[in-house]
Amino acid sequence: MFSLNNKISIRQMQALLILDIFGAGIIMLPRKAAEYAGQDAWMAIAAAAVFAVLAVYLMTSAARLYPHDSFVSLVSRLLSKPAGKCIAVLFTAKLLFNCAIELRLFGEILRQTMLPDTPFAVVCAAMIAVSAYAASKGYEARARIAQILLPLIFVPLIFLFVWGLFDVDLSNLLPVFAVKPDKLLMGAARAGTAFSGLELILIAAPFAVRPLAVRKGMIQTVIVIGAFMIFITCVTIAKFGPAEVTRQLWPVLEMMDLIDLPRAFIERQEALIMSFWIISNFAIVNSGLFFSSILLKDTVGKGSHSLYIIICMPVVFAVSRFVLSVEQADRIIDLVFYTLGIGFMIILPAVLLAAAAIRKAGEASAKT
Amino acid sequence: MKRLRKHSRIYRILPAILACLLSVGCWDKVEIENRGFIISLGIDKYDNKKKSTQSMEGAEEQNRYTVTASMPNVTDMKESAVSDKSKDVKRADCSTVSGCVQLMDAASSQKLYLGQTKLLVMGKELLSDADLFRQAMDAMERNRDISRKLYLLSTKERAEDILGLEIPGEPMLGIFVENYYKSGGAGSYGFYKVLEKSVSDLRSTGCTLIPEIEKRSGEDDKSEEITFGGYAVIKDYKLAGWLDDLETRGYAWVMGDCRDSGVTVVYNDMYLPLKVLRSKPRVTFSQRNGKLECLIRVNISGAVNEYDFNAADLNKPENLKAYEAEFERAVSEEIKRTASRVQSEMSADIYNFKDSLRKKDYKLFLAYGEDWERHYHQMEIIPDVKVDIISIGTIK
Repeated sequence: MFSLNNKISIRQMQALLILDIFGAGIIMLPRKAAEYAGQDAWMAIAAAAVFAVLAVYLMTSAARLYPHDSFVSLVSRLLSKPAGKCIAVLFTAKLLFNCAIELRLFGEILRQTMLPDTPFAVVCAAMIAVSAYAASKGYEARARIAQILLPLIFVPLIFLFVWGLFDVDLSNLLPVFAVKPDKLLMGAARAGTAFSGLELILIAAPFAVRPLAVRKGMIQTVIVIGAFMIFITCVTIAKFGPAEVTRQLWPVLEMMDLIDLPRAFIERQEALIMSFWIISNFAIVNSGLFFSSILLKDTVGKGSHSLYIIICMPVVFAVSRFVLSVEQADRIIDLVFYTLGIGFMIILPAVLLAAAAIRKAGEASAKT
Repeated sequence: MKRLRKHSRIYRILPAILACLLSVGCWDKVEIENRGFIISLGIDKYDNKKKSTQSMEGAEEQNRYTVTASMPNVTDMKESAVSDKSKDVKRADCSTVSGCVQLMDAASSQKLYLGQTKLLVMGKELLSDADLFRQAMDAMERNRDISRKLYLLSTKERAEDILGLEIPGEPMLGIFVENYYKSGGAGSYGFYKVLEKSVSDLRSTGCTLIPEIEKRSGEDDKSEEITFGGYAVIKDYKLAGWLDDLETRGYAWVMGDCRDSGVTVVYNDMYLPLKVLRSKPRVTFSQRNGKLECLIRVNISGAVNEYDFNAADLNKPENLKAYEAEFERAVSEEIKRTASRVQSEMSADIYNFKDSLRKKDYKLFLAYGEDWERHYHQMEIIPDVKVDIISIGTIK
């Protein structure tokens, strides 16, 4: 019934990107943006979304140079084989480390909110096992999972937040445009961490059925994600006010608690956001394991990607066992984003494009 | 080949079985009858004349709080219809609020759960102690289980006495209060306060209002009833005073819709009531002679539901205009009275005008926001009330 060529449609790729980006980031996003930008946090997020669109443009431009080549092959052809392998290994390390820290953060929050007596190792192992199994089935299976999960998560979430609009004080978004430009930029930089996961476009692009259409599809997705983030942030700040938002660790979670659904038998709606968080975490761990295995397979050049998933699993488990508080884990994730994340999103594609220009490389150049 | 197929079936079934066996919910499984759902919570300053049964032995000198928890008595509810005895009231003394909850939990056969707590009552002595009040509010805010929709009430007595009251028809005070507010019971004389709003007010200006609950003796002096009305004014995390019902309404006019409220004026020796159908306030700020001015415009539309049986025609425009002017004067007086009291006597910005100024006129906020307490004290509050009588019932 379905072709098993490991190629997915642009729509599926969009669904995967949304799942990869949305995670713990959205729950803390209003706080991070409001810390510097105050009630103009929505402007900071809009600015971050613009930077994200530029990053997508750069990455897809680099991927278009050799659209049917894998990431390792692309970098090897443009720079050199050793450089390609080194960058691939660094990317793998970054993905696995990110995966482990996100798992740690997830486990800590789960322990504090829902399962205080369950050993962290059990939560971690269960999540890794499920994610690894899904990853082992290939990219098409991941894409189909994303298509199923996306409406399950976002339809109730959107409904709840639209309902929450009836009970907010929109004057909390005043005064508009009062934030200074330097604070706005700082807020945008903090809000940018919510777009962590975009760098996976570099690895995912060759999996598209139409690689040249990836740019348009991904830019559309980033715009939609940005709009959704702005909406969530505006509703949260309208509910709490900018000062109160900056004091809460997870303002979106608290927001869900305050929404009153008439005639609803569910007392605490935050269970909904927790289920969203669990699914998002699954998507992050799943993508981390899958793309790491793909990179390792392309670097080593032998074996199937499932073998490398088995190698990556204990590494992620071991790193996630490092004892970290929620704040420490969050800070490390931000640090990795500001260094390696920005490096892979912007610096590497820029270097690849420059190398291609110097060498007159790329499929388009080859045809001329 | 057959052996391979049989093995691959095992490899598919085995993980599924393992996943079920290792279900992560097993460690945290709690049967519902083993949970003690705390519906109402009360916090008082420790009084060594009224010691609780639960206290940390050897550390009694450190006791600072008495926490009272009211939970449904499921056994009683199962055996008979809901009665006034269908609740358990537990009490503990400790140096911290969370310590009290832990003591109650340790003494209970059920796992106490604060996730369904509807109500927090705070006693007068606690409210009068800034340090104790701050720590108690922080304990409520910081606890992940406690909902931010927790209703707050204050009392001039001890919270444990209020929680121990037997309310006819509804044993759980927390459920009673929730139903009371959801059916609009507070609409006439003010607003309810939830934890999230109070915390936000305290962080912003150090001031908040907490609705008051009182117990009054019934007609036969044997039963006791509860009644709502008035507010405790908290300034700098400490009780600054109490607002009575009329002063509460003077505050409510400024803050939002006082639908279903009733205003009565005396005109030509007649008592004339107005039922408020809708009221909409609008607050603006301006500067005059170097001082801040606050103009409070309130547009009220209402209905006259009661008059003199043999009196003149209410339908005449000149009569209506005269009555409207009287109602406008009465409402203005109420607003001024409350404003004067909280400004001059208590110097408490219960209206959160500081935040309103920041949102509506940022330039003025930059000029006056710095030393807000002084400017608030000196600010002139000018009510401007407009009443429209849009209904006089079914007769002239």
